Amino acid sequence: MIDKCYLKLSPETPFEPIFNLLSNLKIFSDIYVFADDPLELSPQIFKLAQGIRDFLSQYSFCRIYLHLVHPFRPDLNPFYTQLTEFTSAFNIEGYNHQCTPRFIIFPVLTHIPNEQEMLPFLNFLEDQFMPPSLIVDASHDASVPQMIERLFYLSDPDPIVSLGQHELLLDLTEMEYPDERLTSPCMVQAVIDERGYVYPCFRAYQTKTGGVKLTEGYIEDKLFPPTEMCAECKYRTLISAGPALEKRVQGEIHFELGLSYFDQAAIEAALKHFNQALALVSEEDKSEVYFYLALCKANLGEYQNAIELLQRANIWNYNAYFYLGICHFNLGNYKRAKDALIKALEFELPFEDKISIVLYLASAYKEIGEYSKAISLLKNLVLFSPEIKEIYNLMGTCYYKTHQYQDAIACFEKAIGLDPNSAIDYANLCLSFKAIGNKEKAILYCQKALQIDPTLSFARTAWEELNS
Amino acid sequence: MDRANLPLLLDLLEEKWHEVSMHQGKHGKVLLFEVNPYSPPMTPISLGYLAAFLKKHGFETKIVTISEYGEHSLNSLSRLIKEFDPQLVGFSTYQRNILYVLGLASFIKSLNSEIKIALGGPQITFMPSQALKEMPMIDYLCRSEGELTLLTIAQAIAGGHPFDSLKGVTFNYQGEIVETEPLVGLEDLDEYPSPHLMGLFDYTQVEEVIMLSSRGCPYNCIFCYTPQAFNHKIRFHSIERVIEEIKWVLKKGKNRFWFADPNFSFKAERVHQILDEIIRHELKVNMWLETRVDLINEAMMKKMKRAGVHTIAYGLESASEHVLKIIKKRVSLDQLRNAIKLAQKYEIEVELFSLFGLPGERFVDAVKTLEFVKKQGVKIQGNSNAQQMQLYFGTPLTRNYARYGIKPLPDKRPAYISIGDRYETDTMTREEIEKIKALWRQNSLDRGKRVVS
Repeated sequence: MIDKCYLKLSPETPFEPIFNLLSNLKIFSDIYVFADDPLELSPQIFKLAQGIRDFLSQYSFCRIYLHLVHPFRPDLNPFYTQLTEFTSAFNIEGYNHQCTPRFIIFPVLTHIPNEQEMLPFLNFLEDQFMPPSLIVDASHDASVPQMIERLFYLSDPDPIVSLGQHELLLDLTEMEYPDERLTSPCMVQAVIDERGYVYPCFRAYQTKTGGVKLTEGYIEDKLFPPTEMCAECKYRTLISAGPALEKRVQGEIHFELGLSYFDQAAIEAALKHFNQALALVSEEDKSEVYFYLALCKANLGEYQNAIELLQRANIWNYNAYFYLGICHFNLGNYKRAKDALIKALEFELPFEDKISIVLYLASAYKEIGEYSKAISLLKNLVLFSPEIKEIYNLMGTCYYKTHQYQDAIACFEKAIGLDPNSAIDYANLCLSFKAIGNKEKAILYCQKALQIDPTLSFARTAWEELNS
Repeated sequence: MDRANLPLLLDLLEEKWHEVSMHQGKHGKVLLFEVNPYSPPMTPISLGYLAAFLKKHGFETKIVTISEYGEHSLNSLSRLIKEFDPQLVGFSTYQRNILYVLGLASFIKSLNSEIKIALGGPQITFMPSQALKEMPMIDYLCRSEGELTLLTIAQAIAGGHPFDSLKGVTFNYQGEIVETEPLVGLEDLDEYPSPHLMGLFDYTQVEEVIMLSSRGCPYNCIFCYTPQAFNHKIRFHSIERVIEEIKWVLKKGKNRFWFADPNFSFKAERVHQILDEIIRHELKVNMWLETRVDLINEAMMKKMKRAGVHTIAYGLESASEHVLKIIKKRVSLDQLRNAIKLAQKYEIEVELFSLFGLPGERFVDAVKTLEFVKKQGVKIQGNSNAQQMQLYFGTPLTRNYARYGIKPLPDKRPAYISIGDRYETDTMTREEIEKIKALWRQNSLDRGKRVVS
């Protein structure tokens, strides 16, 4: 579905595919048409208006507002008078009980001369048509004639980009931050340039990415917004609003962007935004930022940094203890890892998170030699998740360490059942059979391990021992 | 910022359960449309009740909301209808959306002429039956309580005889308009399952959740549809049900509530009990509610504030005693002033519903209403922007408009459209009506003339 349409009109604009697009446009939508010279392009403009009129007449539950963007000219009265022929039927439609007609044409003026010169035309539009909007740049002074309906700010030399940014900004300023819509992709738009190429959003149009030739048949399925640019594009648009945006809100936006990148595992980008957020958010909100900074650092392998940041965050939920445990584990502080992971398990937490925590805890027990505790944990875990091969691998290792070789063999066999390409588990089976004196099987599984991974050093050592 | 905890698995499961439960239709599928072309998305509370009731009786239902955001394209609507493949489609119909409704109905029939289409809602209850002849795409007009009426239609279609054993319905059978006997709504509103508690609403797109703790109105204002449609009776949900729904919505992360009851404080004792429960359970709510100025007192207002009422809306209609008398409002200006003061004393925002173009109202009277609102310190914005009175089907005023000095304009209108605001009166010309409309607009705080970025 297409949200809005932006059309740069030219004498070559193909209309059939544009009319086909109407069926994919939201049923209440806006079409922005950009005409450098509305009189020269009047045949195209009338054709477009006629096509929209016919479409709306056939589908009386659709509504289209056509914004006609063009420079000011003093001789446009007859042109606009002729345009009313396409909209007038909708003004009295349904016995005037609708709040607004289903087809309205809004003039939007660019390149504005002084007010005096413009006044007769503005008066004409207000009396006979619709009050116009203006696109003004930063140099425009504040005196705007009363009859101006809306002001658009010329944020880019190209009015398509300016209006696109304006619409996006309106959407964004409605949000109360944090809001996940900031980081989610925009709806597809159809931005059609003068060569007849369609782009999925004004940013794609600006960077000339993802364009599709309008005449290439059914194009809706070919329009893909550059989703990787969405968050940054929205962020830049918001920042372009300037000092109007509170520092706190800017901080929350950085935080939201950080979360978005963190979810996408783009840790470096997340880190950049979390660091910026830290400088902008209130003291009260800093804990949360420290927390996510810690998670980023842990993901980057900077475990000591991560631990310090977790302590600064001072948010002790199960995630925090889990990450603390992982950090200590990776630094070789197995007892501290064990303590943190036990605390994580004291929380009520989702089962899938519990699996990871228990696995790490069991690994910590293994590393500090508390094998029976590890086995007991893993026995419970296997009842709920019999399909995770890592559990059998770890449990088998713990049985092996405690010389319970038959149980170890059973575990490694299960692990292989779940992953027949696990060289380590074949090698583990080899060692277990070797320990109980079954040399034949030990050789067999050692061969298998080395077939899958000839570089597996402990399997090579076992192989040499078995053949010596 | 509160993102440190991941969503709990249980919550996700709960959502899934509800999604699954929506698809347990044994008897057929009913698609319901809420079309609000001029408003942001709102909780489709009426359709929610219908969907919940149909679902309870074994029908699979789906509600499609079309707000001013136009959530669908022609193609996506077409896909939706083909994929859901309903046997019956229902619409909530108002004077303001009927053009869109009829257009959508034609579109649906063009996709599959076997689909039956039923219209219900305020525009339909008292619409002249002959209007059906001007709406060939419509199969049924629902005249009685929505839940029961739509169920009889859905069951008739499921039984293979779509025009047999119907009640509360007007239909066009082979060119003949057939009226069936009316249905009486259930006395105990709790017998209607709660669309909230059945998880039928997606609250993500709405700022405020609409609740309904009662239905109907026993008063006699001559311009109003509600007392006529509900036979001047008022029915209630139990306090337990109301509180349970509030708790449910709070759990879903929304705390702004819009109580759509025409007279929230009709039964003082009941209101006190609801407010007490909210306070006792420490439910953090923000409530908007509407009531009459003669149904309020200081103790109640104080408790409302404590419970979280942020805005109270009263029907002012007119600040002229003689106009209030003609429209049978049966409140005095003194009562209005006191009720406004009382709310302001407890820092509860006041909204006043005002009308112009009322029977017997002169231009000076209409100006007096505007002055009255200003003088009371009520902000002229949102609901406090006055509207021209509308003549809807079925109201005493519409039935006897000439007697009240209403002179419809000589436009031609289809039979499915009522007089609406296309009239002048013995006491106000069209020009004067337009003038007072402009005056209100000039005094409004939110007419939103200019947007600068």
